[in-house]
Amino acid sequence: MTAPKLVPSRRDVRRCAHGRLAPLAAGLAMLALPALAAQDTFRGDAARTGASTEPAPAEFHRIKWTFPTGDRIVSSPVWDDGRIVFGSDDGNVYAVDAATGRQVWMRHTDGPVPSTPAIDHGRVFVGSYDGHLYALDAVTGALRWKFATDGERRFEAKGLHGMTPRQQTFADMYDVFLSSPLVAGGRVYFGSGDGHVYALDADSGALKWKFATGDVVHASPAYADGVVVVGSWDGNLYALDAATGQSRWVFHGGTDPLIHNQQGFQSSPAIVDGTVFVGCRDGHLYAIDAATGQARWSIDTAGSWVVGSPAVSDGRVYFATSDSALYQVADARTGALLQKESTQAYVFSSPEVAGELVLVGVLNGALQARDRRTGALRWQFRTDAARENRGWVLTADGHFNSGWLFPSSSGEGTQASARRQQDVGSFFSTPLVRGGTVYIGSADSNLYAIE
Amino acid sequence: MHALAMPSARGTRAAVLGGLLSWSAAGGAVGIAGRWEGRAEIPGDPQRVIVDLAPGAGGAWDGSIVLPGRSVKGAPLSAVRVDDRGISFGFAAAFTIPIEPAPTMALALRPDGNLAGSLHLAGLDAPVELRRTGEAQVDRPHRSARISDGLAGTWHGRYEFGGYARDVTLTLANRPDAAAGGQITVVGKRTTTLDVDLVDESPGYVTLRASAADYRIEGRFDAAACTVDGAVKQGPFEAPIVLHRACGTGEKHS
Repeated sequence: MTAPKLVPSRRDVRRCAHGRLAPLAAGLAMLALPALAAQDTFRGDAARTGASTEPAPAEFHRIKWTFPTGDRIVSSPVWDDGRIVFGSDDGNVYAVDAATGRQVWMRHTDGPVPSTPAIDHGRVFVGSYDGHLYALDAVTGALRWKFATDGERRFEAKGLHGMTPRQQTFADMYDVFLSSPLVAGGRVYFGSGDGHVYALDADSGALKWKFATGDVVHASPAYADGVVVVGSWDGNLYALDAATGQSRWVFHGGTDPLIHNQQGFQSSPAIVDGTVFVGCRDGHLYAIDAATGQARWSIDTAGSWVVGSPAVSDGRVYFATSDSALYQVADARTGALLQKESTQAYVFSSPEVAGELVLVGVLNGALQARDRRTGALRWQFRTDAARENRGWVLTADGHFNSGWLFPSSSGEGTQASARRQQDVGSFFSTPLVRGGTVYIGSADSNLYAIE
Repeated sequence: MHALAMPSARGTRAAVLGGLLSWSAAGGAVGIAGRWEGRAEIPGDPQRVIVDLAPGAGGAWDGSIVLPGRSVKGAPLSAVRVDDRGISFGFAAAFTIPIEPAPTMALALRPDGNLAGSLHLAGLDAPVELRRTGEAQVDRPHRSARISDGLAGTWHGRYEFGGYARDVTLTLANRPDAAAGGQITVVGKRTTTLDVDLVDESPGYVTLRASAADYRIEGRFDAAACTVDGAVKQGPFEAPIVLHRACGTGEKHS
């Protein structure tokens, strides 16, 4: 993701052997998921499948309510006993009554909260840019404990994305998420900008283990069969023993030593039937054997990032890309592409399978509902800001007006322009569907309830 | 579609008429309550504004403001005045860096039921128009509640800032109004005493705040060990601290 002309040529991108592996036919048959997740964590369950039996509305009827916060919402809403819980970049964690849209509680942290909460046994676990992992009472929002990491930071690199001056170190303006905690077996797992993956005791917050990667960890861990899988900005995907933190295997994604544009795991893995599905900023979606770390197949997205986390349901993988702005569906066993549809603009949000529809949040301020079987657009909601299109952020047909927005490769100008892209109410947040209502946060600072 | 639209239009007119009647009958007091959303037309940078207003105790008004995109959620309004001409209030609490003259809004209820007027900030004015969108959702400032006997009393600790040790004496007590409060005395190169205006105790964790100095102590509270193990924070600075006190010296209440 960057201004046009900044994406390196393919020969700039060096990939390890795993990344070049041709699709492998081997693999377990993908069975239909029961998808009875509680929707109390990012992507609905510990395996991060992003698949729900809760059907999305067949058509857009109305906005049921909006809940305004003080800044953009990158965090995704989760469900907790009639409450919608989420974070905002205004530094607060919120619980909102799902029926009325009224605030139940608000807890302030000392930094933006672009992490998605996880609910477990009456507690809310969530990370903040203040460098702490918080444990809150789910009913009152009271602080139970908080754990200090070695501090947060964004991914950064010299000459990042081709920005100038080349010797300047730039923080990545597209590193928007914080790792969303995972709760399994009485432990909380999450990644940090300090480069570590942490395991804490969920009751006390005591450190059980921490594992050092080579760079920022803002992807969210997934769990299956005693193994935690999480990607790092060092370009590696790690499988760690959940009990000890020992490495089981490491999968190497692509590297981009020139401008660092085509590297790093921002996407969170989904683990289904022994296969890890994960997107990478090296321009691939990977299917990896969960036992060995060997690639089963990969899909080349021609340099487009796969930032959002794939959803897996009924033997299909649903994912979307950044610059090429494509919603794609692949056969989970073979990697064969089944659908490819334009979303008009970059997708960072994760596709959510909801009954016969797949919901996709787009950075142009549109929430798209697509037919799960055909990929056809069934309905679309656009924020007021997207419709107003102040500053001509979007073209008339809803693409980013990149030529207008990015007049040069100057680092300062590029970063300011990237921020302006969000003025249309970008959807970084991943939708939650519950009781026929879709909940999603927007960069316009609103949490929307749509039915 | 006309059949669906008609009742809605009637409802809008009725609401406006109702609002005007209640405004007239009660000096605007009833009609002004609610959530109001709109925009301040700051040149080149329009600002969304959400204001919540509700009648408070003793004829006063409670209110808070949301400014999306500025990390302002639920900042309390000050000097809320409602009279026959409209409403005015201050919202200086929305900003961490003081603005002079202090930001205010003055709005009048128009015949169409909207509030319209001006935002005044730093000697500048911008037109504002707000539409009532629902019931008030006033964010009330977090206040101290009663603290446990184990936490009430006198605590001592030490931390380092910039290579210098600071000795801390903290006294906490439940006040007659049942809200906890206290004082922090910090002895370093000089001695500073701060009023603790917020004590937030949850099982196993305590946060103490002296807002006037943006000073905070928070940490795990172990009643059995008579310790608070955490950190001192002031602005961007943070230092570890462990507060102790002699066990068995907490306040006792019959």
